[in-house]
Amino acid sequence: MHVELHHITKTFGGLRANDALSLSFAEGRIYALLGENGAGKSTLMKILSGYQPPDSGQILIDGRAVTFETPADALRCGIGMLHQDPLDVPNLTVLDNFMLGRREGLLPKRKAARAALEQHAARLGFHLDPFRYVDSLTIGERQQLEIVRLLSLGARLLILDEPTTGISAEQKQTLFSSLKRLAAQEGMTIILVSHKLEDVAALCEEVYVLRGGKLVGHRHMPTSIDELVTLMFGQSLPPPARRQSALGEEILRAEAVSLTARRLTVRDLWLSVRRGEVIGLAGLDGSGQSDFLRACAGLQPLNGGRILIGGIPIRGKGYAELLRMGVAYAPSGRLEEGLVDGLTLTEHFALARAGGAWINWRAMTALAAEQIGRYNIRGMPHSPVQTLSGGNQQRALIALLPENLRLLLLEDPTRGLDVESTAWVWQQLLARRDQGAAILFTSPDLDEIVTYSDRVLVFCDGRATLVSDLAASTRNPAEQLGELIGGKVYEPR
Amino acid sequence: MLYASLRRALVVVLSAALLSVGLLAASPSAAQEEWVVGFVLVGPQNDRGWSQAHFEGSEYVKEMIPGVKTIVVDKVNPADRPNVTLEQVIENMIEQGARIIFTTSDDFGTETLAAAEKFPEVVFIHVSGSAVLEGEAPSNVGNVMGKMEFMKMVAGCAAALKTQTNSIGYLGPLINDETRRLVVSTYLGARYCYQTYRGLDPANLKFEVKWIGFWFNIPGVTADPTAVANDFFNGGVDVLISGIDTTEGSVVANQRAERGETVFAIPYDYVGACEVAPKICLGVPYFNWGPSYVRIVKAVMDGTWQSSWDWDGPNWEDVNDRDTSAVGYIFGDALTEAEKETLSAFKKGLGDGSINLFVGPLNFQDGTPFLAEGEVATDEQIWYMPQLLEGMLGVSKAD
Amino acid sequence: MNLAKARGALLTFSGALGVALVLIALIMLSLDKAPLAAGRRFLDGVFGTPSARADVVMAALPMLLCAAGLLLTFTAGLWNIGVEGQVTMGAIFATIIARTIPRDVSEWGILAALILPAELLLAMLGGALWAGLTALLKLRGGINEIFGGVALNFISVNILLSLVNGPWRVGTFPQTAPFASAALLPRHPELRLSPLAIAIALIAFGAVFMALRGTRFGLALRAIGRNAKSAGILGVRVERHILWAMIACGALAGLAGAFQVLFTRGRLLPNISGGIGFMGVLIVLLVGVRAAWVLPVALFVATVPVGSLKLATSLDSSVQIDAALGNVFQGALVLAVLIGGGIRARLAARRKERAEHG
Repeated sequence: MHVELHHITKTFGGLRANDALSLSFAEGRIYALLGENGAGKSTLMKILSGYQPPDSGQILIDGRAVTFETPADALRCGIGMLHQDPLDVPNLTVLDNFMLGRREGLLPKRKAARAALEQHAARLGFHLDPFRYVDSLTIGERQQLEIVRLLSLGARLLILDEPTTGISAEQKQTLFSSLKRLAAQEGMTIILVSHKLEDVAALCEEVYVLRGGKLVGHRHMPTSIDELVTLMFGQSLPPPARRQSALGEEILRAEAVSLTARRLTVRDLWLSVRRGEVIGLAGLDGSGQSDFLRACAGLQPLNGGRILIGGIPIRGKGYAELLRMGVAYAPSGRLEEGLVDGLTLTEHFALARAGGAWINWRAMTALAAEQIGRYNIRGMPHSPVQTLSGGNQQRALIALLPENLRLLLLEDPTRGLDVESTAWVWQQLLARRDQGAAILFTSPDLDEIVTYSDRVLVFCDGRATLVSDLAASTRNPAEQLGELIGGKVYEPR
Repeated sequence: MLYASLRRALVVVLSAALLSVGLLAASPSAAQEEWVVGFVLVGPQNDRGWSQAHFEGSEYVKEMIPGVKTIVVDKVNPADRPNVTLEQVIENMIEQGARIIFTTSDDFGTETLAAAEKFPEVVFIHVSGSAVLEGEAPSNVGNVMGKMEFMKMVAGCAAALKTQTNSIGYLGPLINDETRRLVVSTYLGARYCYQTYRGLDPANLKFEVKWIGFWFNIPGVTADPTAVANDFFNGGVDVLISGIDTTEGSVVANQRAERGETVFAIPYDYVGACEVAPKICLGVPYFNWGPSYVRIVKAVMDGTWQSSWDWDGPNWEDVNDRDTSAVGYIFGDALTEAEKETLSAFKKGLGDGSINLFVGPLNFQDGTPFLAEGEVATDEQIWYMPQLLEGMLGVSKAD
Repeated sequence: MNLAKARGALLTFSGALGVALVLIALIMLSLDKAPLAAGRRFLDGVFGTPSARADVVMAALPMLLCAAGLLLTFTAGLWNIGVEGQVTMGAIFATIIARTIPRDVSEWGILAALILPAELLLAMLGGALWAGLTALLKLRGGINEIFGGVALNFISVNILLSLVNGPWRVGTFPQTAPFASAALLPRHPELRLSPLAIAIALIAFGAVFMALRGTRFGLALRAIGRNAKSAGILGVRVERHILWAMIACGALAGLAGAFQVLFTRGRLLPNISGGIGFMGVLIVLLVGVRAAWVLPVALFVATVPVGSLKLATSLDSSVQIDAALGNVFQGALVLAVLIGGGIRARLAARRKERAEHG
């Protein structure tokens, strides 16, 4: 199957997300679609997979023009998309999910479906228990299920949107080798949407690079990483330098804190943080890091113990009050908890900035424009936030943080961001630190934690262990952290 | 712009409605040389009770006096017309040329007097009021009421003749002078007949009144008359006399009779009220407003009308004579011939004065004397009945 | 709102109006009434005389006040169904002072000038108290404002009934005596019109309009209505704003209640609110929480009782309609507007889709 995109254009408000893009995907090849956040990758792939129509342009399959009303239409034509967050139904079994969307009679044929599931899984080298519930699977396993489902429904072109976020190295290995086999032996076309250059290097044969909605490059691999970075960002950036700033007075103190996390209860947590310090919170997802952050922001009650901000216990204080005390919290779910769907950027700045009862809209629009420039947000002051891309939403969230903070609580601040955006975000955050703010952040990326933290609080099995000598460690610090997260007892040197 | 658009839309749609049905509109005629009479009713004009009796009165006026046109507005109460006041209704009627306006509910009193001050050239008749009697009314206000007391005595008598459980219930509206004197009359009639015609000791006759709080059911505001009626029957009452303007008492009695219970009801106000449930009806004491209204309208038309407080009685020759009797009593199907004869005799006695029930000794409910031995009550004493009487169950005052 | 959108909304409204009118016309035809003559009489009656126009304006005021308050709560995503009870409490609180004012206040001097402000403030306090209670039930008790509101509506009606049946009853009817004129909103010498009431209502509505458009408070309410969690993260004190939105709405509803006792009825009686709170809800639903539309729609809704009365008092029996028909019309209109809005949204989506594919 040969798929061509002709002059695809899509605009949101005043923003050209896709600007007359023409790309071609041949049978049996593995492509990468590279670009920083907001470059237009997701938009293009949503168009290709039938989630949204283009404003103009054409999709040709084997030379024949097609239009898709729905993703199901696209799938019928052989185009399937694997989303970053698998679109499965968590409280159904693997088999039930597999059967969803299959075209059969009124009565589903479970036996046949199970046979098909096992056959397709074997073909890819995946092991899926048909009777497990999806919510007990890892992200990697859910991905595998989704790929199996798409293949069984006849997908000949598979789009994978950031598939390696949140899966283990081993799962990544399995995934990549299956994809290579699919392409080589069965003539599948694979499109990997990613900003992770090492993934691209490991898997892909050809690379399309997008920047600002335009196609800026088409390369055959191998191509040097430097060249790709230059194509993506216009110029290559040096990684941010690690700096040590002078520590100030104690800003946060946790005494014998006990709190309930998603999976377990964290007990007897002690911590003292001084201004100018960066503390990384590491742990498997749901081990209590996020909950501790929320507790420090007054958003989650404690089971026991107490938390003091600048010597004042925060019990009974709401987040708005803590905000006034110089504490800010930025959650990772942007549109769920952080930004208000339907309000414009200007309105967000008007809300977040203290001021009198009356809003000076002109001044606020000016402020929004200034912040948009300063934080490099792709959007207009009057853009509703939901029309921004994920990365730009994250930038907006950081831009909204008040000035003169004493304590910054960040939940996965670079979730889904590309290298450049991540570096840029940290540049902003470290500037805050240098102005005297303490930073507590969580991240599933151990490298990020090792890179930016002065000390690390490791959450494991209901305990929180403070690791203060990571930088001094002779071993690979990330590896050491990984062991601690996995349950190895910490032995301070 | 919006206003204009809305209006345009209205016009367009109305024209469309006209074309689609091909209906020609009757143009409203200007009412210059006609006499227009307005009637304001508190309840629905087809309530088979108080308001319908007035509606019939208005129809009678139209029938008897050529050239008179009537405007009847019913349901003038805060529940049915929440954003409409009596003042607005009256003003609208006058705009339509009304020169006489009957306000047919006691609680229209204050507003009627206020409207009379504002429109001195219009005659206002406040039904059941007594402002004229008390000298508080302007000269363009009159009061009229029927002497229902006599017919309530007949109703009480019918109930006493019929009851086997020796227990009579009275479904009362709100508590005031008028409703108290009607209940008292009913009781006196029942007691007299129980003793005189059945030869039983009146001390054994249980006569209870329960007040629902208004002339008709207003959900959430009054007690539910249907529930109260059922309470009565559950408590052993077998004849229920209604004092409210609507027919719930008869309806409930009929339901229970259909289930095999031997129960009876006596509705109120409207001549046709027995039609609701003829089989269990012992008759109905009713108002016949027509003759009074015609008299008043004619007097106003020929300029002889003067403010007065009229308490119109029955024509004892024939209390059911449509053209002369202000109040009447229609026998119900549930009465036997013998009972009808007894009632007729009782009625005759009331008419010729041989039976006068408002004669002492009578005590109030709290034991204080109402009438001394042999004392005959005056009209005023009856009109302003301050309490129930000794021997009656139920509250005398609302609080 | 841009012009095309406004025109679309107007189109929907006119269309819905047409549907509602045709429905009423059909009902009237089945009752042997003349819909066209009735329509003409309705329009003549409502717009024809100064006194009818005054009645429309005065009937619109309490609804306008309720709708204004509801704009605040609806913007914040709060279904303040308790507005009806807040109106009732406003009426009761205004009566606390009004019933004690003697006929003659000529010796009160400057105090006489304070009667009305005191009554109105107390009424606002009463409504605010009731709304605040609903908000507290929601915030502290976890009781949805709809259920809390319904319960408090019920309680307010019973408080009202026990007062007018008990200590405040004067005479035989469950109602207070008519208030002295010094206690009432001053009335235009000829028309049933209170310029002061109009001014108060317009100022209150204007204040709400401005608050929603240009203040931090209004913006915070919008944020809360769309995503309370995010609003909190952006620094909005969500609970406090919910409380104040409810209290502001309650105060305006209380004012509406005061208008009912101090102008419309001139006394306290059962069913004093007459459903104006619910009418406010309908108006806000009709305009889809767009503040600018509330004023004309409130006026339009207010023509219904006035026009229905015109029809009822007509000499021509072919246009005399039952009081209930006016309510049927209002209900049909709301339904038609809501359905029309849905159809319009669907058509727009389809048109957009076609444009994109075509």
